[in-house]
Amino acid sequence: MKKTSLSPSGFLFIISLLFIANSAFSAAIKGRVKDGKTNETLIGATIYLKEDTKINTSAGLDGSYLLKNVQPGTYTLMVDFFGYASQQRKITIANATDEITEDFGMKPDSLTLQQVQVYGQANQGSDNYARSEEKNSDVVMNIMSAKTIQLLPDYTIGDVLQRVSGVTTQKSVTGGGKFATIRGMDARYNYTTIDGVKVPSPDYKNSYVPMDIFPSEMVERLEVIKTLTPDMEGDAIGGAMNLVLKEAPDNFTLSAEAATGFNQNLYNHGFQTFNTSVINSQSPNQANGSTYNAQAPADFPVAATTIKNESAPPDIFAGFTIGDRFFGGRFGVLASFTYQNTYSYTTGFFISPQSQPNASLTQSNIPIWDYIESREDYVKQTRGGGHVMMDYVFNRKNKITLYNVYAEMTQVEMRITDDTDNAVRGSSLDPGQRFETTYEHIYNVTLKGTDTLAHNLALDWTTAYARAWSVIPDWNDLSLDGYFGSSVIDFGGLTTRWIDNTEQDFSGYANLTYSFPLFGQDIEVKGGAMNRDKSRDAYYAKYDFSTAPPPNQEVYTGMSEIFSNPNYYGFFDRTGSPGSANSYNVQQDITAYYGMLKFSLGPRIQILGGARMENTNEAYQTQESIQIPAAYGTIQYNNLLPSAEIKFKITDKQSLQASYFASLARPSLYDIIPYQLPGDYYTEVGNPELLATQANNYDLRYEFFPSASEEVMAGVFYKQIYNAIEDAIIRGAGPSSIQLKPTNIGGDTNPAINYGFEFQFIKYIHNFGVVANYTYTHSSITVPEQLYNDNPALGGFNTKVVSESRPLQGQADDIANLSLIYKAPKIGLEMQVSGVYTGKEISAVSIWYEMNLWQMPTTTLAFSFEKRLSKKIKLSLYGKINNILNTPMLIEMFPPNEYLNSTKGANLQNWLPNQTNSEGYINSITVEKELYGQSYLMGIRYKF
Amino acid sequence: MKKISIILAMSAIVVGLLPSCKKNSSTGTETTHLSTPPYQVGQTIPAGNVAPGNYQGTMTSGNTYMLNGAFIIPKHDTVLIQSGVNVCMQPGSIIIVQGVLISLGTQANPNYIQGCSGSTSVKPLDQIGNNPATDPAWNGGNGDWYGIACDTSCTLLDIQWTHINYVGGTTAVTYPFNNGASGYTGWPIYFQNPNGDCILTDSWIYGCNDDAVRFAGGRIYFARNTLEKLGYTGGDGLNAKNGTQGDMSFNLCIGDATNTTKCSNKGSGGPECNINMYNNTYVNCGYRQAQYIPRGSDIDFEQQGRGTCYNNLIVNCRTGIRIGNGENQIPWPDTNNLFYSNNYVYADSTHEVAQFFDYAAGSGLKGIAYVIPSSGQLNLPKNFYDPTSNPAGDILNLPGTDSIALAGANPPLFKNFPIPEHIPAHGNLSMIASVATGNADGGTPYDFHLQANSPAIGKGTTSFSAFVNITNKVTSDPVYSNAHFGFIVSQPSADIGCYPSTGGGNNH
Repeated sequence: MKKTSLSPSGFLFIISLLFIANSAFSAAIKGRVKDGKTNETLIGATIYLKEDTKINTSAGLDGSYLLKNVQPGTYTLMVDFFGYASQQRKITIANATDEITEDFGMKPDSLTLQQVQVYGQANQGSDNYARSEEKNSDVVMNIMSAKTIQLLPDYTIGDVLQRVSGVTTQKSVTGGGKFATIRGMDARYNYTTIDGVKVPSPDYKNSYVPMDIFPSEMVERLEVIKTLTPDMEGDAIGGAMNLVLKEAPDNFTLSAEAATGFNQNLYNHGFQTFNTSVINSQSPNQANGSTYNAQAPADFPVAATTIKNESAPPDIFAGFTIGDRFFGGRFGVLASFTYQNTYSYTTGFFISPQSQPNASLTQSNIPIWDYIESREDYVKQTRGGGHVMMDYVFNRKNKITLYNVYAEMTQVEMRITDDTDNAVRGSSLDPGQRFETTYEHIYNVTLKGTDTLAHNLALDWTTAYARAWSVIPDWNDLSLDGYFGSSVIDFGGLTTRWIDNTEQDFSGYANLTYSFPLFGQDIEVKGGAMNRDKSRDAYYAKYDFSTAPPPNQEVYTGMSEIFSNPNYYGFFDRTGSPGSANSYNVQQDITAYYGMLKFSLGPRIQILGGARMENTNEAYQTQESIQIPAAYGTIQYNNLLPSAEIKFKITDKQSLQASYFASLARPSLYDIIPYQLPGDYYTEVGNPELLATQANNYDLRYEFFPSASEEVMAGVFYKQIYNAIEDAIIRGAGPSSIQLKPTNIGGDTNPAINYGFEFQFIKYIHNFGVVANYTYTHSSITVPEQLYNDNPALGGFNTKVVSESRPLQGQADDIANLSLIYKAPKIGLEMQVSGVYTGKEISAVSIWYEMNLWQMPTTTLAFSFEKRLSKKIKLSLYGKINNILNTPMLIEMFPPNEYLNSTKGANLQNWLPNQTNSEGYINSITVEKELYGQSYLMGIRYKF
Repeated sequence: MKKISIILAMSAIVVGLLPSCKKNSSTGTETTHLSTPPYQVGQTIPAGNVAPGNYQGTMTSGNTYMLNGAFIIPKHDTVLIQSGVNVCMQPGSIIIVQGVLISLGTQANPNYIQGCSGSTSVKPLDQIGNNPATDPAWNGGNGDWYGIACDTSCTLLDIQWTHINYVGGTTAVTYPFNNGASGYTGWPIYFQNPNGDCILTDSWIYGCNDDAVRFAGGRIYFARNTLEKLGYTGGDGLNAKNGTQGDMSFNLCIGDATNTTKCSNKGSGGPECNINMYNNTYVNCGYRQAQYIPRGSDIDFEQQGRGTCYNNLIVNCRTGIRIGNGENQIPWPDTNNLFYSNNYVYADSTHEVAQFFDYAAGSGLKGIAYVIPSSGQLNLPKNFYDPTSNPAGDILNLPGTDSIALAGANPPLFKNFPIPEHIPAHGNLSMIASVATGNADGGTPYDFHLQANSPAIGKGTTSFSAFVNITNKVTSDPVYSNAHFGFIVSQPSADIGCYPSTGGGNNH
């Protein structure tokens, strides 16, 4: 086969030809501009000839510059960069073919204060800082800098995460990233910190922090840490996400931005919502006492179940940051606020598999279907966030930092469905309407201190209070009964819920570091302890209105009409079903202490080792009657987590690192409660008998940093996961109902295995940059599954238990990211095209053999740019286009029978909608498809 | 000791009688009935208010027990209810059987387990045009109590001559039995042990809000019962799932909401669902199910269920017999192991006739399920149903477009029941009198026995026999091997319906 694509070397050859061609007929001056101390490249530094200012350029992404068309002569070469002292250098060009190289090491402006320099606060949001942190870190870490994030097309941290090597995201209803899967380990195996302090979750259905609550502009850096050292909390098997907030600056800083945009789907379609102002924030039961009998319509405002049509409103984005330093630089403060108001419209359909497949004498597990549902989701999301960071430097040895962070998100979801109720081709077509408003908040206050006690003994300590809470008031699910061929729709029932959830953390951390030389080597001993008291309080109330029996079934024209006559509806549980396990309180007390030792063996080998002890004490109480097993309980366990790593510096720019660490993943405080809550498709139940997952993690990583902004990383990882937790579908109350329940898989002897390979590449060639990463992950667990078959020898239709090996839920085999960046600092233009490929992964696990639901591979594409409008006032125009390909989210089933790869299978599902059969054969059955539409944004950014 | 004393007493009587024969010259044998004390297990449970908690022992004859909250019979424990006991269930109460529950009512002294709002003699509002929302049978859809819920450890539930009334509602808290999480829909009986036995004979279930009996497994014998007004706007009567095998026979079923006797192999872990449904009488069933046809059938086999269906009498019901044909994605029953014939359907109106469930040639199903009308008379369109002109559950006064003369043809000739029922145009069968035990229209109770000249007499088949797979039945259990109560099997009768002219069927 003839190779038509251009090889990398060929590409480089052409590039170099271009350079040669450009410089063939006149002299050229080239070189690099760097920070003289840190070697960071200074992108955008201006280089010009004092004698001929028309000959000028600015440093590219790799710090390089090239001045062309210089006639022979003597010149003064000038270099300017904000925050640095200008430099000049006399040069002489003798011949027109000369090419001389002049590198500059810039020195910070003398105005920059000495004290601040000590703490190195400048420019931590830069790409170079991110690379140098990755290079110098003891752990395997990927960092996204604020500079990178600013140019990304993403609105929230949830979206940014998908661009980090080895990370995929679980999508929310709007298509935005919400929870992160790191190296194939889903959200339950990871944790989230803000500046190293764990954040609680406001989510009433899990204990993971919804990453889409944080606007992307909020952070200085986003760190994804994939290996743990003993001084870090030990409950991550996939990794930890750390949000580093913007710190108080050295000088007066002011920036502001405002943007507007829209979603393509809405532009085509208009927006539907409901009046949220009438909603009672408290349930009738909360407002009037637990024995109060709720009344309709008094306690159930009709406007909360009435659809309101609106023309498609524009999205709004705004951000503002101000900061300065006072009292001779001792006191610094920074305040930052962001606001986003976005509207989205998602369309999709879902074909619900029946709880039990069919079988024939020759085929097992033949899928059959309950209903087809078409779905539209109109979602308004309003995010507000702010943080205030203050630090005070007493002297060179003591410093304290106080910061407050607050983030909130309000989501108003109007869902409109039509389903064929209980039969794919039945005669009824039932509309449904969901009116759901979710308020989520996270607040965190942290006081940190660093004290140098002696010249080689340092103490750092942290105390923090964090609170996360959510309220879902007056959530209404309305079901209606319709019939094919009839426009008459009857009232079919209304379920109204109030859900509150609050998590609170009180944490304290203290670490002591002692460094001393021994046999000519630096040895660092570190020890510390932490304690966190966490609590979670959940409240759940549910009120059900049912359809009246014939002849009182009422044609539905609105809830006001239904509520007008008590004969038109049934209303049974007027007290809101108190006393269930869905209302509960749970406390978790974690005490941990550790010791670690870091030392070097010669100049090239560094060894780090230690162990961490974590004690977990949990207690929960539900409002369930004590007659019920597991109505309350306590759980206690200890984990000793050793770890070790060796870092071998091959050269100053290359290193090889091998590490081992033991870690755990605690069942979330939600999972251990015997709750029972409705899910989107299945009822979800808790499991108080869940055991903590334990893992052995092995990593080997090669890193190469050719320059301050570039890197090549390659690594392999291997994990043994004992008692992995999967959301298994189990049979619920009665044979027709199925439930989703977190369940330990494999026990202590049969670990799930997860291994993979990661590769990351960042390269800049003058104005062009390529950021690419690829991760291959393979995981396998073996679980018992059911096979439904018809065997006359076994008495006819029966269920056999067989073993199935499959990947962990949410683990995609291939993940790839590619961003192409163009930056022309001279004209102030930056552009980026970003693509994300995520391979096939299991989205829902079935109890039936080979009937898992798979989310199919997706490729998404986005474009963003920023253009400086004026050099004098730092004003720029920026824009983003997301989801350019309108990539669908597709869920497929690959059943083990005649449905697959046969003409018969194709015929069998001809009547299912949205299937693609090729030549009468099918490969799989599409059970769900969602489309999110493109979104556009355009705005102005100002920087002082 | 007791046995010995009984034997001694009997011996004494026999000895005492011997000389008297000589003295007396009367002809014929003298019949003597001697009372024996009711059977008792363990301690007596004191009558009156019964607090929630764990119980074993006996509820004694003639007493009223007021149950509150959860009455739990732990694993390996037994509660026996002697005859003539009134168990009054306070609102929200439930009986949870982890062990064994036996209720031994008799024809003369039946037991009642029912909501306290009902009196011992049922006084339902069984009148034409009655509104289900105000009918005390359903308490507006709330029910009075949550029924008898058997855990997977229950080995025997044996209920004889007992009224189980007014069950329904949704639990707000979790109860200690498998699937007892809050939100449980109270069923009069929930049985879920494929290796346990569940017996309901000569009893009554009246007014419940969802399924009357949900079997998630079990060896069952359900015979000679009256099953009336089961389900409010949905719910099946006797709803058997995977792991359930046994008989449903000689039951009188009146005014039930959806499918009255059902067999579906949904579920897993037990043997294939296998039910014999024979000699049942169904009247006015299937009309409170608001959903589409063919839901609301009286005899229903679907989703790999197997069994037999013979000698059933179906009068003015919505769908009649339904052998699932894969439509509406409800999978086919196990048709290789499903046998049916000699059933009888009757309907007043042609719309009802049109809803007789039948199959066109080529459907892959065997034969026609009816003996009356015969297959040649049934040539209506398969599953005729026009939802625009005929909303679910509605009976229309037909325009005379349908020439089929089956409407009103072959009335079964009940002893006392108005046929045709004179349902008003746009009436609704859910409004109709349902009438086994009550007084309808102020007159005498309806009587579904057949008149001597009924065409249903002699049309059945006896070429099969009852399943009878019960292993823990009281008569064979050494603990209960006492002649005070027994397990009587009614074999098939050649007369269609639950009241054979020769007797031996339903005793109500």
